[in-house]
Amino acid sequence: MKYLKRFLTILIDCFLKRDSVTEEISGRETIARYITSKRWFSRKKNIVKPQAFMPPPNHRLSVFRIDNLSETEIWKIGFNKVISKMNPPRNLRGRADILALNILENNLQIEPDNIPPRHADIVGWPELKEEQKSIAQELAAKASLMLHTS
Amino acid sequence: MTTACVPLIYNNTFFVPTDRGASDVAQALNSFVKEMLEDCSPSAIINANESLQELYKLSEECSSENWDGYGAQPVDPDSFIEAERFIQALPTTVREPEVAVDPDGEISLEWHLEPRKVFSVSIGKRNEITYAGLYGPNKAYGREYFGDEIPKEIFDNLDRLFS
Repeated sequence: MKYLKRFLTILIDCFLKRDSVTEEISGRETIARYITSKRWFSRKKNIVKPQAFMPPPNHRLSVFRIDNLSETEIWKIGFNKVISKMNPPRNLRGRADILALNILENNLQIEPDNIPPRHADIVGWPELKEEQKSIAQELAAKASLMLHTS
Repeated sequence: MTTACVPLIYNNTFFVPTDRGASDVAQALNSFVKEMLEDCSPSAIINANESLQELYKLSEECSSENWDGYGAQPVDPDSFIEAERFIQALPTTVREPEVAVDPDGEISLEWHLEPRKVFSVSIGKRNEITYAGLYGPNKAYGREYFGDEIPKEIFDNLDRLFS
């Protein structure tokens, strides 16, 4: 019985490690912002609009760390951990991928909470809205638009 | 003496102004009329209407709390009224803005040419406008009071964007 318990622990560790990310965020890490509004991007111009990066009233912009995940797994997070948890549920329109470095160089911080796994918040937004707008424009200019193709 | 007389048929899309006058004054008048016609072109007026239609549509779409799934505030009724006034006050020569709603419920008007060529204004409820623009490697942002007229800084930034 002890042997089975140990085996189970090894299995759990193995699975947890597979989906875990380092505590420290590297500048080269890719961060994804899931897009829930059709007004946050332009399919025609293939761009992310600054609105996708405007901070919410609590000043914690929800993002996910997506390094070492396949495209299928990344979209799965969007559907299972983002969209389905929203009330009322939204359509997942796409995502804006951006390097952590581009976020950090705007004097923002990425605060991982791993609830759900790989989740983090972009924090440290300035109080003045005009400054928030300016940063959102910078982030959108550096982000890549990824559209779900199904 | 040369008289500037703009006939009613100038409103007709098919009317082509003639430029038969040879004097400097006649040519200056001709160029003035051309500019005026561009200013009053039907497409510009339709564009302004499109922005207003978009505003009305958005205010319905984003009328409940959490409309984006990330905790956004519903459209602020005061911001809506001010945004309507702002769009109506825009000269018809200015390209139509795209209308959006910020997470704090304020209406935002945006001119987006390329990722690094963008200008946006958010219309606050207390006649306050916050704006930000990205012009290649340069950027500008600030806050202005929106009284009877659109502040000069907004036009300066639009000039910078489209120049």
